[in-house]
Amino acid sequence: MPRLAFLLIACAALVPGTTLERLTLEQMAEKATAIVRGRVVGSSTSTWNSIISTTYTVAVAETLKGPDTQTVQVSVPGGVAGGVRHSFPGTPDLASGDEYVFFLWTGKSGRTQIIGLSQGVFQLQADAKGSPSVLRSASTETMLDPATGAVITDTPIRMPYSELARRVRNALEGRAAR
Amino acid sequence: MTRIKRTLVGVIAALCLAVAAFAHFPYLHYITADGVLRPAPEKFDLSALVDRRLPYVVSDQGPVSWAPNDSFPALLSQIRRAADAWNQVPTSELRLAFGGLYSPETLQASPRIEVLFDELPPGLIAMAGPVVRAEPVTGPDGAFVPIQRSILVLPREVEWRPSYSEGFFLTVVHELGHALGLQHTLTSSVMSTAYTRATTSAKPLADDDVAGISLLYPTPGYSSTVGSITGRVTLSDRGVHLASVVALSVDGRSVSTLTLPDGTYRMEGVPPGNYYVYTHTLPPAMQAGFGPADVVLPVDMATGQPVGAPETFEMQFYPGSRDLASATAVTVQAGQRTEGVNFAVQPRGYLMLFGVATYSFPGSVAVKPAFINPFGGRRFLVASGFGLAWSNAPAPGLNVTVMGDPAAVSVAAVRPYEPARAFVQIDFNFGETPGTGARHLVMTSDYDRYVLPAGLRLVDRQPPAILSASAEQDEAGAPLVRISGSDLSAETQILFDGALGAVRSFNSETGEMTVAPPPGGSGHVANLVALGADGQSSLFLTSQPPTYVYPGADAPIVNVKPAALPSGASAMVEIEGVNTSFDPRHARVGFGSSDVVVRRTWFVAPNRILANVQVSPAAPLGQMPFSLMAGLQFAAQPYAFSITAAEPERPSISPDAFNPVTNHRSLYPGGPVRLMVGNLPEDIGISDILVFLNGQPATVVVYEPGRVTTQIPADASQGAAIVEVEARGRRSFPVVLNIDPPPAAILEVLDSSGVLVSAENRARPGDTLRIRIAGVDPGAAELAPQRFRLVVGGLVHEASQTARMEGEPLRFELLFPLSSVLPEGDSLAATLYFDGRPSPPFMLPVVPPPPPPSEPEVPEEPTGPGEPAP
Repeated sequence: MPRLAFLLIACAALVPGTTLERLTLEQMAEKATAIVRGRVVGSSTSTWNSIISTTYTVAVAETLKGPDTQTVQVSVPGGVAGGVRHSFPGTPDLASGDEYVFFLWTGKSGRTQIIGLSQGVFQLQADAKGSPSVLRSASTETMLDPATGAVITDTPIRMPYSELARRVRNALEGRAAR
Repeated sequence: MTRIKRTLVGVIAALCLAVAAFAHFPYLHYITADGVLRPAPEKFDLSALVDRRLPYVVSDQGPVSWAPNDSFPALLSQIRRAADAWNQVPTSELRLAFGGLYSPETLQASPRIEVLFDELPPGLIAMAGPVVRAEPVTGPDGAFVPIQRSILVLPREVEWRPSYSEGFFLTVVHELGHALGLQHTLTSSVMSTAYTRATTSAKPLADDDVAGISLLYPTPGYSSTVGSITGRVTLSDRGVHLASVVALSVDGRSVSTLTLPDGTYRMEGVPPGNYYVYTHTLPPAMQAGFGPADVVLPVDMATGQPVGAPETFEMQFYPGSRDLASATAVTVQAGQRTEGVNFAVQPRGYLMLFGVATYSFPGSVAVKPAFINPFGGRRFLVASGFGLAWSNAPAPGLNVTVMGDPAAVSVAAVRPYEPARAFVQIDFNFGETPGTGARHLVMTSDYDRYVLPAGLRLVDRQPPAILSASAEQDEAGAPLVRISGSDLSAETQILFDGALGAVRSFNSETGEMTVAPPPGGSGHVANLVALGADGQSSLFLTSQPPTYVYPGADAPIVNVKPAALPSGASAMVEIEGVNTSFDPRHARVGFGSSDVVVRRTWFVAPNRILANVQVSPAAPLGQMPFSLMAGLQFAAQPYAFSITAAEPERPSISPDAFNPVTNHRSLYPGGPVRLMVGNLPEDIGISDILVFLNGQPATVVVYEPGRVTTQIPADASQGAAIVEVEARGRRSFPVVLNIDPPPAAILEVLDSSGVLVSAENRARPGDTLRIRIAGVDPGAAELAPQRFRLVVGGLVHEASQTARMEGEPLRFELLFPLSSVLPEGDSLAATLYFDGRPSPPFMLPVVPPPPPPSEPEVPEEPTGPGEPAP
């Protein structure tokens, strides 16, 4: 399959000029050092490398990837310190008391951040039947209507939490989710 | 919120995650005036910058991991090259200046861009934008929000994206654009997101980028060189906010803008020409917290809330057409506004075709944007995008056309790309003369329409390739690199990492060139990249460029004297180097703080630089590093320089000295110079003031408060001259003045008949003046006419001819055709400029314009019989 290899090689070395890395759910699962479901219970701000950051304390209810832990500290750019506010469009707005699924990445510094900022955050809500579902605020994938094959709009959709967890497990086990 | 509102509020925006893009559009605030939301962009206040130069300082806490053959000096050279890309926009008045490396402990007060490195999570490549702003002010171009500080964050681990890669360089150019106040565009320019960007390392900026930066920081007269298009986008008679309006020319240009809340738009910075104009909906946001197309929504300053929520509508070409074939081009003229380009659009539910990227295969590696050589390369490109392919096939009804002459370039077929059917392959037919340059692609499917500006770039040769590079020396023993390759030309540039080599020779038969490398550190491994004039680069063919290893040498050491200056000081510093060979083409010094600005440098010896620096009066006291970057050679001294407490009683000389006769900054031997001196006692007199030029006393000719006029000795050498002022025993810091060659000496002014122009023989409008001069370029066989200008009554005249006077080898005659319409007056002030340096002005007697003809007398109506005479 020389031509396939041709393009695959091309993709690996592709695209002079790319500043963006769009990640699928499966890619986020692979790159994450931890994937947790938890509730925000507190926050504080500090200055890190000239940037004001907010550190959220998350009480972990379930760990999908990574070491089991009761809490995790998640750093997000933005916040108020010393009368100065840094705000970053695209960073998640995490409300205390709300529950989320986080795709986290801990770097060598030990600081834990969210993968792709908002890409790695799913808000957990109860659906009409009271079952937990995640709200996916953005999609990086073209989605087709299974019935018609037509492209459907790239609007936020809900996904049962169980479905997200299944896709994460499949990704971690090296199987395609779809 | 009150206290926070009063303090500086910062927003970092434009995280480089977004797929979709945005017109050339600044970060915008809406100020309510007279009940109307009026836009106020965020931008740096040029009047607050010394010499309109914005310092960018780079953190000394650099990346921690590198790709093979990559290094911090290499990365710095790429950052500097990216800054130079914006500096080379001639219609932008702002200039980025390397401010050196800074330490986290360094306190800085003056406006700046800080480049720092941080641990970025996967999915985030870089981020940049304004951080700290001041309250809105009104400038000559209207209200704006002054940016005080921008930051640019790059990853600390760059092994997966080496600094010599196109991706890294264009990322930095893009992020610097954000730091300067530009948001994303949708025109495939560098300010487009990487997905649709169609610029390259060889040509990083497109027309929309030039328009964007020029509109934020225009040079005087910029608006007279470009035109504008205005109109309104409505839907059911309501104005549509944030509708994208794009102007496309057939020769590949594109400029854009977004509409205001009432649907009106004013697309400025459009180069003269004919354009097809269309409007389209911004694609949906890909990230929570962003507006559509991941734009940072404008903010209503009255409420602090974003203003957004545009509607989705059908794309439309002007006037009112869904098809390009039915569209009508509008003409844009310099300094003119093309009005009434309105759109009454129709709603639609959602977009089904957007965010398309195109790739081509000049070699075995796919590159973006798509470059196609009809005469020797693959004649197809591959495209991907939302809604482009359905179920591994092109979207139903997908059709692609190339804007322009179909006989030159047309689409032969649209089909699945077999190795990966999620991509679409577009095959092309080319005529005998397809031309070169960017071409816009118009895509339609059964469900939507989409235009990709510059989706295709035609070239007439393959990308340049470097096959070998060998070290040599010239006759003087200076290093050279002999480069052999393919598709090289005399216009090919050779990069050593981010620094340009100087091409010494090119052999068109063998394709070989010899290049003098820029300065580099001992053992530095520089990655060699060839840049073609057509925008292609050798990186299109390989991601592993050849290298050049600098010979071993002792490490450079630099020292700066004095090692401390008080805040508010204007002074000369002396930089001495050991194991250095300073090259003015490459060397830049920085003090690691935006509060110490280098205004001008003189390279007086290979190991000695003189520089005028300005210390901000608001500079915090403390120590800072000093650094010098010369090509790929880098030297730094931590804590080498200090800012001390202000000395308000010490005389201070501004380097902005000028010739009071010509009112120009060009100073010359024997001419006068007026020094602007601060901190002088109010009761001081001329006898209390001493002036020293190069250590020798100079006569003070005139003293007025704050102004000291002296004479430059007639035997003064050209170049740097050090001046000091002493008043009542207090001596100023030295400042460097530049002594230019003397201006042209005007011997006589004749009319075209060779008769001396005088009160009795006045110059006539439309006649040709013959000006005889001496004192310029002795020994030159000819002087190019372009070096001369004659300004008469404010009107600029170009020389049509220059010639050495027969029998007088040191004298020249210049011919200046006078304008046929001169200002009123029988004697007009005239100044001759040679290489921009004015000669003393003189009065030119001219024939005054004739008086306007008087109104003809209207004969009276004859009266009839019986009527009394009036």
